[in-house]
Amino acid sequence: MPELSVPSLLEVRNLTRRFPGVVALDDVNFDVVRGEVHALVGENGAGKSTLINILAGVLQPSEGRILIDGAAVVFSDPPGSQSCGISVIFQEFSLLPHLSVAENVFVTREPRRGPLIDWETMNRNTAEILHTLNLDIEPSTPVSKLSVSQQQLVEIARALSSKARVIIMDEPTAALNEREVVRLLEIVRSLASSGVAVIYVSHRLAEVFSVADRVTVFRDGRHISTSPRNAVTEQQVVAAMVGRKLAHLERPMRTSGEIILEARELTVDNGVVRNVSFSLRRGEVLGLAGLMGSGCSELMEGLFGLRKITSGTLTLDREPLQANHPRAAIRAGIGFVPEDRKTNGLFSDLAVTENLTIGALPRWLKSIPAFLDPARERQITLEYKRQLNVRFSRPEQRISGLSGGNQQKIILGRALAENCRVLLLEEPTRGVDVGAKAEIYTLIDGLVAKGIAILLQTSELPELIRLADRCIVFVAGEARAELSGNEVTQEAVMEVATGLSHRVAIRDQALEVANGE
Amino acid sequence: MSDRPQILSMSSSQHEKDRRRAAIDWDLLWEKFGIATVLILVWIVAALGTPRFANLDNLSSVLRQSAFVGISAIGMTVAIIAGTFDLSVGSAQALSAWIAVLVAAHYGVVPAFIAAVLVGGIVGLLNGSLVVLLRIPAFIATLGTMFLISGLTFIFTNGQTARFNGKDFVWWGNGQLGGIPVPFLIFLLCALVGVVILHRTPFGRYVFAVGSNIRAAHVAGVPIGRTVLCVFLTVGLFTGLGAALLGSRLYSAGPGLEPGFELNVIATVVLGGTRLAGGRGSMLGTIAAAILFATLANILNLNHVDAFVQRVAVGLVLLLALSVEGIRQRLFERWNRRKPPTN
Amino acid sequence: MESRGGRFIWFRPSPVAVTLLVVGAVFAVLTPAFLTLNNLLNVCTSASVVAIVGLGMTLAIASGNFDLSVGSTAAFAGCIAMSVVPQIGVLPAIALGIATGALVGWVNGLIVTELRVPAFIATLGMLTIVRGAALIYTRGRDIYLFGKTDYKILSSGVTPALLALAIALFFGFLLKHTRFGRHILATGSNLASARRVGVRTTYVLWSVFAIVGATAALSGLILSAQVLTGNGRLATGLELSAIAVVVLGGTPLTGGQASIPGTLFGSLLVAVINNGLNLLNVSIFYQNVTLGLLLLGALSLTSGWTSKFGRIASKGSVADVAKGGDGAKSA
Repeated sequence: MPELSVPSLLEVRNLTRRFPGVVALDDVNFDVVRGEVHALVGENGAGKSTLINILAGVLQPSEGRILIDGAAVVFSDPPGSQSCGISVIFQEFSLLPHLSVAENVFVTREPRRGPLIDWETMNRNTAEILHTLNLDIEPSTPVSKLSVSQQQLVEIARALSSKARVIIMDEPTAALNEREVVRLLEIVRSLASSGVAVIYVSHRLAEVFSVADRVTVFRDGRHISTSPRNAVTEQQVVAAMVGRKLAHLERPMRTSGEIILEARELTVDNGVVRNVSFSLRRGEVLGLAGLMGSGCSELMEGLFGLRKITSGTLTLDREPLQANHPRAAIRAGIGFVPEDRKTNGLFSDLAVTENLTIGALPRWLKSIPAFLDPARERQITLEYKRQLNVRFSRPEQRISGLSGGNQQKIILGRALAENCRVLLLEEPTRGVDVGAKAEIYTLIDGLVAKGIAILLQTSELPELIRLADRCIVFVAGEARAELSGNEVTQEAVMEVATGLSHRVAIRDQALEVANGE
Repeated sequence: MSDRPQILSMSSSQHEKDRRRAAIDWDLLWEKFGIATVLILVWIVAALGTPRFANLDNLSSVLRQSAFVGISAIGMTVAIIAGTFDLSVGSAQALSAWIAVLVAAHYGVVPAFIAAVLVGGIVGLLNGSLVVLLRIPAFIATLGTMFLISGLTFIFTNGQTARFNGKDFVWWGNGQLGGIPVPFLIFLLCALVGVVILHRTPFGRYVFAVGSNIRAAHVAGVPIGRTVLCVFLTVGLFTGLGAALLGSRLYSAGPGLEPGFELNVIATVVLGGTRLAGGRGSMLGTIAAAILFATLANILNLNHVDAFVQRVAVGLVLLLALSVEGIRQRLFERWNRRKPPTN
Repeated sequence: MESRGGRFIWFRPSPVAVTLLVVGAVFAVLTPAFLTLNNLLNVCTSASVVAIVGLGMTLAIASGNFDLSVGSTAAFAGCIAMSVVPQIGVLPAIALGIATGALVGWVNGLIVTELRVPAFIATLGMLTIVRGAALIYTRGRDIYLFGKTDYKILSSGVTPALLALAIALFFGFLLKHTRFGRHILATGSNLASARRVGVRTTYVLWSVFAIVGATAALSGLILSAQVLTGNGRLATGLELSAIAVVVLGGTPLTGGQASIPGTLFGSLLVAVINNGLNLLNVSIFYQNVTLGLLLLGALSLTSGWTSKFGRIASKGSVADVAKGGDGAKSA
């Protein structure tokens, strides 16, 4: 554990960053010392990304200073930040897929003999670094051929090869399975013990608490708190992130009807999800939980025709369901609210009305000729505006002008407008502020009360607890356990999803590495 | 019943936020009316600067000229809004025009126009099939079709131009109705049809959706394959119509009819405000841009500017118009160092 | 052959090479005139002209862009060179011609990188402008070169082929063994990532455009040397042939990879087909048809190549960063 008297390696003071209409960072102080893992947590919009981008040299601060080893530095582009010893691993990585591992590791620093690239030296040096990361691949492999976790290790290798003194990781475990997460956290700890300062930005408190030395909370662009890991509990951190004590999460009493959707031995995409069976009743919310890559979202996508169901049967209302395309699924009465609405859901250039009605246009055409009926669409939009309490000033305005929560409500409205009997929700409140979150939960309660069957996939456990009557926990593509009613608790779900033994092991191993050299 | 959060009352500050968010969308206004405004300005300046410009006959000639590229540009606008484009319109035009002239000579006017539109449509379907069924990127697919069709045209025509000057036929390309050139009237009609298609049919809505976010369109259940196929069909149909008019205007048609036509058409659409990225577009802008290009050519002609300088001028105008967008973006960026990152 | 990083599609029997052999064999059988030395030389010359500009275009496409103005640049450079040969001599004229092409390319680079105009439109506009400039310069007339036969060297004998080969070797070497070349591929592989890790993408792209312009100019010089005439209407459509041979050669339009040998084979294939059809007295008009069919056929068979519509079904993974759309990319 680093001592308190050690001076900061990297520090930001009074850092502020403004954009038209929003202050993304407001007079923020933050520092990290040599050899520590400093976790940065906060909800969406808290300012974490902005800070990362400033430290990466992608953005300039509006005010404030950045200090390295106590001396103020200014950099105006990524190479500038890199020359100060800062290396950032973005969530979507900065890899060049067609180039080899070695080239990615040494890009812009390729060893040369005269004007020529010195392949041997480059490959050799790369192999050494990969060895320390326990990554056993040929340096000449094209990066596109690697798995996500291997690619991440290549990113870390690049940071190492540039002799980075500060490594910033943005949501590093988002795309990893549980084994890979363990391996990554081990590597993070060993990086720290070799003197590198690691800034670990993540939503996932379990990991944060197993790897970090200090935990900092941001909220709404402001620095809220910084504490040593031992001095604070997960509850306290969550409270700081959200800004208020979480009220006792309450799920209303629900009575569910007959079974409407039945799945037997479903396999998706030849094995990404294997032999899953479940039944879904009207008026109930069935939750799917599991770490990234465990198969929940893949299953949802399979149900909606975005992925191939390679074996097993699916019955909707006692009739066999063949949803091999979203259009077929919609016609059969299945609605879908995808995660990442920006990529998968929103038509940013189009109006609110157009976004709402796109899924079920044939319902609102004039009879002869089959033209669109703008007046009717407007009316429907206003109707949904009322029902879902969406905030916008005119139905014709572009949907990109709405807040995240309101956009999400429109996407939800789109599925409802298709008259669905089964509603698939993927991360329904991601990127939605707390107030809108509560509204959406109430909306979901209302829908369920009307008899709609909901399948919910979410990585936010409080949300799962709040909404789901039953929950299936997935591990590595299989349904590991089913919990219902009172059994559905955060601890229980996490236990199954990560395997409690794993969690303990991470902490123990981390302690070993920290203490043991 | 437990305490439910108050969601039914909206604070006044929220109202304010809503209203502010819907402030004037300058971007959209420029996109829709920018080029039309520029056109009017150019006409005023031209009328003042070059006396012969404001001559009725001359203006009529400008409008007539604008129609031939313009009609094809209507179809191309649909394609570009859908996020794609068609490089084969030039060769399709040559073939359709030749067929039109030939059929007119033997079977009459109406069959001629029908045949031309049909040929255009077939080429469009070909393009659409290549892109949708064989998954070939539009750039290459239409490039290949361009070679194919121009070659076929050479073969069918044996390198010869077909001629026909039957009165009924050539009236369409050369005549007037109430002082306004017939091709221009047809151009306006086509534009109207285009607007109706884009804004009043489900197909049009799907076109915008596909161009705006194709992945979201897939998830939302939009029939993408069918839509894209029809997009290419639309381009072909309009091109065929324009081709028939061109053949009528020139009394003739043959291979190598108008080199560089496809680039003119695409330039017209883009200058008119429709973004190449798709999802947004303005038919009015296309009309204005078509007239603008014809106007520029006309002004340069009247001023006895070298024909070659005219070409340069047209290219410069296009680049200038588009650079403005780029420069604006750069200034915005320098001012803001990129948009706020989204978590 | 072990891959030492990057994509050098060489020893794998590529479809183009195979097709070339097959087609060549077919023609050899069908007409005895095909395999004569003189004829093969013709084939080489016409292949070289397209190959040279195609090689430049390969670099452009590998970097994630393309250049539609190469035909105009070729004509312009040819006119300029022809017009100054009497004054300054052959070699300086050639140098000037190439410099002109590089300048045009530089302007393209400026528009694309600094003014953020998509390459498609930028080079489209330049196509018109440069073509116009060429026509203005020549006042629409041809520039003849009397007597000075030294200039003819450019297009006679094996010179064009040697030039094409030299450029191919140089570019191949560049792409495989120099930092600049690797950065070209990096820029085309993922522009955003390349910028983030410090690749000077602006410099890279600007340079690539200048190189394309220079190769276009060289092709134009050879073309004008063939007829000893500087003509403003020369090389119309060269851009499309150039892109065609690159695509046929296996270089993906999405960027990040390049097949130099592929472009050479592609050029040869197109030249062989045109030549063979000529010898068989097949109407010259069939050449376009064949090229079109070739292009489409080659592409519908290529696996691992998906258009926008093929890609929507798969969720974007980290490695799937080729968001090339339909070819209208900006820097």
